[in-house]
Amino acid sequence: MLERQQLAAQNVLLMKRLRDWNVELEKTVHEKTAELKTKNMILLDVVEKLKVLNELKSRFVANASHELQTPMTSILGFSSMLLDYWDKLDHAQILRFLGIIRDEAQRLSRSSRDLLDLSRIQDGKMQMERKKVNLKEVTEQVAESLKVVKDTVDVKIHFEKGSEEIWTDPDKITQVFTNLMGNAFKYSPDHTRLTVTGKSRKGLSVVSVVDQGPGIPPDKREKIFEPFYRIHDDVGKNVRGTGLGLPIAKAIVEAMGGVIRVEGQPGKGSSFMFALPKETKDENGKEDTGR
Amino acid sequence: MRTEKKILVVEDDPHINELIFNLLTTRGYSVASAVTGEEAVEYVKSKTPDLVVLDLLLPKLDGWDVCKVLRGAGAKTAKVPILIVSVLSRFDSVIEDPELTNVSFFSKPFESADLVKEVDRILDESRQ
Repeated sequence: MLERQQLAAQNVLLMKRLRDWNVELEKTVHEKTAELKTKNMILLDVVEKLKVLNELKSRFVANASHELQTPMTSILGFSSMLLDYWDKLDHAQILRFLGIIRDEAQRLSRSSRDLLDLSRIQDGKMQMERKKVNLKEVTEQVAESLKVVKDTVDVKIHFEKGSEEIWTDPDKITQVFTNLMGNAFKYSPDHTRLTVTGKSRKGLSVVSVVDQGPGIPPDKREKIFEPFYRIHDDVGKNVRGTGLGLPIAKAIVEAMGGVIRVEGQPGKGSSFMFALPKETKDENGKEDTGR
Repeated sequence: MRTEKKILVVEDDPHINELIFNLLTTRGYSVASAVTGEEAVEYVKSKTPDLVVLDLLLPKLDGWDVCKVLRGAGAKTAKVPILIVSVLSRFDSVIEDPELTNVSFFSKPFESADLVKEVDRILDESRQ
């Protein structure tokens, strides 16, 4: 009798344990399922992002190929035409075609150099020097070199006190100014003004490049910083470049710890603005002026 | 006679436009040039050339649109042969559309003699 009671009690205890285990097991299964679902969602998200990146990469390669094939078409076409039809062409035509071959070879060289630059900056492989640079002097030098190509744009330069000097890479910052001002020059109609101003704001130098060109529609403001993007309308049809100037400027500014953006209204000109820290900080958070 | 044959070159890259224009003019054809799809459609409707040499990547109305507009714009323009000259792969191109007949494809970059040969071939075939 006692033995039977003991067995029944044991049975009850075992049943309870079993129920507890069951509850525990259900809870664990539930938790693990939720965990799996979350991981699955993260994985799906990663897959989607990889798909987008892959599409971007394919588009980039297709665009790069187009950008390199276009000057190559002129080089191959004109040179073979000179060889095939030299006896039917006059002196002026021969000189003109040779000039085009040279220009397009230069364009091809610029495109491949820019592509390499962009890839180096984006991969974080760009070596950055740090020297004291006077931004106003850089602006003046760039304006002078651009005026040699197009002297019908009036350039006004004004840097607020304290905004001129920053610690940065002199060549890279010159490239940022060359690309932004060069772009503004290309799109500026004759006898319009290009204004470059510098302001000092909380440890930052804020530079604006304002032109009186056709302007950029609000929905294109992000896209113009994408490699090879061009606003395809009448405005851009006579403007030539590698399509990498603005992406390179953006990549350099961001690699320097700054930001860049564009404003302005279509028909009323564009305003490119970038802000850079005047003095970078070292890993201990102390101001590092490179001295 | 080649001079009796009118060719329209549609190309927005100024140097490539100049290249094809000069190449076909030197070959003896009568050549006109356009830089936009709209200009091309307007020209073909009013002058009905014997061939349109067409780039695909054009501002606004692109090469694909030009093909479709011309093929749907009446009997005269529907028969004008089109030679697409593009850097795009031929498999991406409009010739995959079975409704667009009499459209050929030629890849950039090209040697001048090869383009001339292709233009001669299309015009010889259309004469027969």
